[in-house]
Amino acid sequence: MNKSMEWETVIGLEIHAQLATKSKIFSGASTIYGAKPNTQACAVDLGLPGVLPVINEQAILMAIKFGLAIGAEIPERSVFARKNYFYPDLPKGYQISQFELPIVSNGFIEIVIENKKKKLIKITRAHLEEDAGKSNHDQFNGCTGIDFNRAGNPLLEIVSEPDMNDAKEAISYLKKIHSLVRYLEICDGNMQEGSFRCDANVSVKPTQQKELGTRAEIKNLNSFKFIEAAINHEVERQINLIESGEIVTQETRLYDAKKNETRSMRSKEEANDYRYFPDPDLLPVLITEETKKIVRELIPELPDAKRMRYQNELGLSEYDSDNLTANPDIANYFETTIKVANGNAKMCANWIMGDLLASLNKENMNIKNSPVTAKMLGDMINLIKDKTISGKIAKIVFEAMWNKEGVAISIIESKDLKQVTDLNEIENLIDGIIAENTLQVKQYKNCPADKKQKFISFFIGQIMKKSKGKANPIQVSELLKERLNS
Amino acid sequence: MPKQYFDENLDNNVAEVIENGLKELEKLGAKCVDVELPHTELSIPAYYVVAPAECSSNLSRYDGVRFGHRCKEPKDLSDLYCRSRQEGFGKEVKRRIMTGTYVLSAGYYDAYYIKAQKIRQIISNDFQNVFKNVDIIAGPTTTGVAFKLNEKLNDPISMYLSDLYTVSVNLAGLPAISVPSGFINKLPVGMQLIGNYFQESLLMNVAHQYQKVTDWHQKIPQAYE
Repeated sequence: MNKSMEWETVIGLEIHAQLATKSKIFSGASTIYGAKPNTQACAVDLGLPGVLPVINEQAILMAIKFGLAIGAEIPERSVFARKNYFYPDLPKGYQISQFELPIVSNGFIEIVIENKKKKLIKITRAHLEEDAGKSNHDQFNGCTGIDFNRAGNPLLEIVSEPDMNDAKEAISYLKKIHSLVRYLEICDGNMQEGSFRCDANVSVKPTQQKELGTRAEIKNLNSFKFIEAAINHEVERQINLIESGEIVTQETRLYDAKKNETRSMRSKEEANDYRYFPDPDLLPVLITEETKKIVRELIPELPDAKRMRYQNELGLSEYDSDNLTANPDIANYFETTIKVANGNAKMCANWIMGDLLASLNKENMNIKNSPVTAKMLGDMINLIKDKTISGKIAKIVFEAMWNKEGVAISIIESKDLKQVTDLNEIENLIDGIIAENTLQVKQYKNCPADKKQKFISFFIGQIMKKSKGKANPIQVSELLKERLNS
Repeated sequence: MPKQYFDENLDNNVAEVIENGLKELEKLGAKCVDVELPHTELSIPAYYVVAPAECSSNLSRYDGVRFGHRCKEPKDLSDLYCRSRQEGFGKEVKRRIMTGTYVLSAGYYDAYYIKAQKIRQIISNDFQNVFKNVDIIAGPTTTGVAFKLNEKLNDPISMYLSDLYTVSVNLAGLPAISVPSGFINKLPVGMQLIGNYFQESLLMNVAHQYQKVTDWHQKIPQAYE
């Protein structure tokens, strides 16, 4: 192979999004995360002989919602199929999934790539399936323990076309889907808990070549950071292989985050013949136009539309709009705040993206559980706007609200933080400072014009200090200049 | 009465018993007519593709991990699976698992499983055509009387053929009932009544009327007295 050859990367992604239903996809057991092992697995989830699955209607409706949101086809008839393979955490010896007639096909989503260019990523299909249990190889000294709590959790597997050409595009696509499923309220998107996971199919080919190269599938990717690292590593591995005259074999590889490498899990020859066939225990699902219409009405304003509205109607920057809309909880918080604050979008955005998110991140908290509610923040912003407090004092108020000391107005009262706007009071403050700093006043009067600002800042600083930050800085500045120049 | 249920596969003595049973129904006011289920013969090969396919998958859960037989001291996971299933399943079950796995395998699925499902639809259509004109289909339940235990173990095809009249009903998904109608060489003979979808009540009523005027269901085969 020619070493100077240009390589093109081709990536397709399979995302597993756990649907936010209360009960499992084919049984009534709870799906809540973190319960004691095997306390949330009923006879159906354990695959005991004689049990029969019953489809969870919510899972169907959530899948339809996703399909409609990506402009996909929702066929009238959708069929569940069995994927047969043996594994200890697969209790029935088969997984109920979909094969030939998935519930969603031929959708697309737009992502933003380098240089703010837009790119359409096609979504081949999205199908419903049940999750397997979880094997635990570490805790039982030479034995494997199995927790079936996860068995039967509803998953939506979202399969993209190989439309992405580098790790950044893959991440951009992933984040877009991640944001979308949360907006649709069909998945909580929690990657640590495994509610949103991803397998990547990666191949490389010379840029001129039309046919795709042999691909490797990387499994076990559960954070954006790892996915990017794993793809980059895999691309490098494949290019090195080909450039040193070897070939890429079709195989499944596991990503090891600690070593930042992928290693072979099984080759194509070892791959299972899954013997898919329609599950005789479940009737085909029939979806009417009426159902689609009802579900369509449940779709909220989606991130792209919201982002455009924030820019066009609220006058926010692209950066602010992107940050506020990526997470629906933040967008909801923002929208409540501007409602309370009667607009002032830019100020609200700054407070949320600044002090609020910084505090939340520091404590690793979700905005939904913020001690400072959107109403409290909006009220505080109103108090800045009507000059009850200055922006600087507001930082003190915010911190007090964060520490659950009350709402803005009561904190201002109890801490005596009200801004001084009374002209006489400000004049008195100025008088005092001028009297205390006669030397500086003299220097100010004698120095050249371009040095004067330094003294102004000094005097304002002194006055603000004396007023404990409560004096209105604009008024102080105006009155001070008048006095010094008179 | 489907013509295809009174063909050369049917034991003559059984035919006679069933014809007597039908006469009882006529006495009760039933009108008997001949009907056609032209694809009956296809039901055995179709059934013995579909049923083993489902069975191979249904029985996967008996892998020695959670319940059922587990082999002693497995070397590894593969050994646990192989020996538990080898030791735990009988010959006929293994035969069906093997057949079922084969017909679902990549490359054979279309030729066997899909074709069998198409035949299933044809058989179901046959029944629907008949039910346009009749309420109940009556005929023999099996081709002959019970064979001896293990007699046909090494001739599974002949054993499967004795299911000829029942498997087509299963493939079509119809309700059916077998009512005791006489004895041949001290062995009981059943008459099968088949109803249309959701006609279980009609089926039960006909069976009940028949049993009100006969007492075969109260006679116990001699060996069991």
